[in-house]
Amino acid sequence: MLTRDIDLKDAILDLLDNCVDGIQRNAPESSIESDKPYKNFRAEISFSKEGFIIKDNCGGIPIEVAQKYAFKMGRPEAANKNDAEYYTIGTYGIGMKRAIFKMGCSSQVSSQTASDSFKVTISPEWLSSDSEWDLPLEETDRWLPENGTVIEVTHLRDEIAIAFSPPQQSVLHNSLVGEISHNYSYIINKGFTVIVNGSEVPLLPLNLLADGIEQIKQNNAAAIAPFLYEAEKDGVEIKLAVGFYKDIPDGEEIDDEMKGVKNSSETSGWTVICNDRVVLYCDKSRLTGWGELTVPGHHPQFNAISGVIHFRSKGKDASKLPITTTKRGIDASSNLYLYVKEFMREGTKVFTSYTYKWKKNLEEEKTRTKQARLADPIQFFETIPKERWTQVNKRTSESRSFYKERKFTPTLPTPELSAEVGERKRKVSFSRPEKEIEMVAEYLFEDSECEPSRVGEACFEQVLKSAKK
Amino acid sequence: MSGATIPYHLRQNKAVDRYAFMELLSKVDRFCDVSKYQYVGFGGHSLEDFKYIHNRFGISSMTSIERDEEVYKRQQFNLPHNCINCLLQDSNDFVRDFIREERTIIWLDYTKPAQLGSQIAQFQSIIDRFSSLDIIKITLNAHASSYVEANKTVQPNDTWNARIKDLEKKLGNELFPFADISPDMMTARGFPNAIHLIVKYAANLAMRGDLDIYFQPLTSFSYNDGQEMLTVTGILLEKTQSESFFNKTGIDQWELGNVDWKEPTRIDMPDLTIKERMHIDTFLPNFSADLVHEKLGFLINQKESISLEMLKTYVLFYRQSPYFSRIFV
Repeated sequence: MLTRDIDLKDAILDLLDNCVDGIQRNAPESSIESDKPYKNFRAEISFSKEGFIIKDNCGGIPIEVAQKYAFKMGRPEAANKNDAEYYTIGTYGIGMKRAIFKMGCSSQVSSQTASDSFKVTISPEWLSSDSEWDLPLEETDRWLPENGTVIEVTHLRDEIAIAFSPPQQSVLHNSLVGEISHNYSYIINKGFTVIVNGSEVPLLPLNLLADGIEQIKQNNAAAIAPFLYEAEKDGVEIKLAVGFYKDIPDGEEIDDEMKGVKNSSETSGWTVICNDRVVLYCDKSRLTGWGELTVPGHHPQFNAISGVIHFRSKGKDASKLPITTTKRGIDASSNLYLYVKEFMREGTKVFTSYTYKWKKNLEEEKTRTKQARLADPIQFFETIPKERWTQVNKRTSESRSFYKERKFTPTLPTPELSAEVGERKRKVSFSRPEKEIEMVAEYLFEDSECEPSRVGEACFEQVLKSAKK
Repeated sequence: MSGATIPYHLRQNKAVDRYAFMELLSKVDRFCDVSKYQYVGFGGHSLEDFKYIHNRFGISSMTSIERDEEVYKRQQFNLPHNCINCLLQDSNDFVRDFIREERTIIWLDYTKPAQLGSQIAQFQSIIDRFSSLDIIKITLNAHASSYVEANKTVQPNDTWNARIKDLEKKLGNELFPFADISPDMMTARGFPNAIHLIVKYAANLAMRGDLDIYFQPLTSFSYNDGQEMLTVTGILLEKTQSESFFNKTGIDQWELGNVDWKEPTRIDMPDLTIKERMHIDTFLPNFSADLVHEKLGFLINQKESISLEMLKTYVLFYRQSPYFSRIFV
């Protein structure tokens, strides 16, 4: 299978990123703290063999940005000189042009802001010319119903036209919607609407399991809850949450994954969000602390662990964020990130240890945790009372540059170890032919597809009852 | 729980599906010689479909895959013809080692909802190795409550969302069509179409590296003989072949054809007596179902609209519908 369309998906996501940049320039300051600050902002993507269109109402590209960066083409020396500035103005210039040329050789970009309205036309002739560098930016009458941008690409490249036509069109449609719903879940959750070929991208929130807040509030009471950390440095707010997003996997799920029969780990790992943009999604590598220092490397046993870290720069200066210049990745060497990673590891460790502790008592763990519900972890920063948070020890000069720093470590349930040795739990485990398990499952539960672990447990219970008589 | 334990003659709808499959193959036969194909299937203890296909088309390169040793022994006993190579093998292993050397018709006849993810993956890896004009039929469990049972203590919406989550979990992010499937399809009635769209996505996904050849769906049916099932048959076609294929076979004009992934046609045969059937048959094919319904003079279901619906199904499938009766030997 080819990876060509994966690049294509990235190109389309680059264009969607421009819409997100627009929102961040234009969302009213007052709404930032509200629940749905991006309500009413939308982007519509449509593609067919005729062409590609993305239109948004996210405020438009300011004309000076367009003149200075977005449509400055080609000359490498000029591009290099401006690199530093690209960084602060979003992905215009890199993302937009790359995306347009990836798809076709003719394009029209129209944009309208509160003060200006302009249009840039890129023609096949212009593209093939070696002498023509300037792209004329033509000021136009206001014609869009709301301030925003419309990018249209036509004269599609052959391979793109194939990807945009049936039957491949529906493949791209589905995988693009899947990708957007994962990578933009955070901003969609805040009210942003994305429509792809007529269908609205569903919200797949990144929620974590937690017992009710009353349970968590109690001192000394064990409760399922995420590990939380927050701090501020140089105008960047940091919020981190890690926990379980589903039941911890049983032996069978782990086996299946090790054998390659099934992959259940896709949504496990760390997601890094900078200014509402996902820059790293479900990472399971050293980049996010897995397999570093005392944290074990990722393994199917940890498939239920998921963490998210938000960096938000106050004001509009993104230069303090720990991201690479392309804004598509985390800058792993940034001091800010290296410092915070310590807490990512600390949080991860809380939950990897938990899975070890319960490994032999999974049934009991399931009963103990069945009260826990999925919830948006961000809400706990507000609801968990002050006295349950702990201050962070400042050891180095680096750590002293952080302020408003605090963390919450949940008191997770531990398996009961009764004082009487006779009560100590041991694990019984055995393998039988699938057909026989099905037969017993049918006999006991009238359902041949009942989970083998439940079948084994029920058999034991049955015999135990007779033995006690 | 699966249909595998219900005798064939009590699975009337599945029987209709099989007859429709024979009719489909005879249409394909107008374009290319079906007798030259090999046939691979999960024959079960009686190897029923092997009998039909051998008798109807004279295919003599046949392979049956069976993972259960007792059933396998029973196959040896029942072996209807000596051209069937019975393998005692799991379908997963068969698919892993499958090398396509001749034109192939394969019927992946699955029943278990729990293994949907691996079933779809097997389907993909077969068509990934297929060449132009190879034919695949896949049957999957589409019984919504066998995936996630309806829970009367919660809102229907919660059940539907739980079913979406379950499908996502079974298929993984790679195989789940996020744009096509929505919670409102997760009803018992909508579920077969959701599975249908999963097959569509999987087929197109598997073919995406090929520019000249594509997966062409031919028929899609859903039926229920105890469990709701979905069955889709398709063929690999070169893009340049497509027009002449349909010109010769006429499958795009056939009332049972489904060449553009429309919702699957439902097979739900009414339980008619032989006398009723013979009577209705005398009005066919020239009378419409409405007129036949009127002429019948009685309802075959208490509700008039359902009675008419059932008769319509009968009219659509009467030619593929077998007579079952008791014989003494």
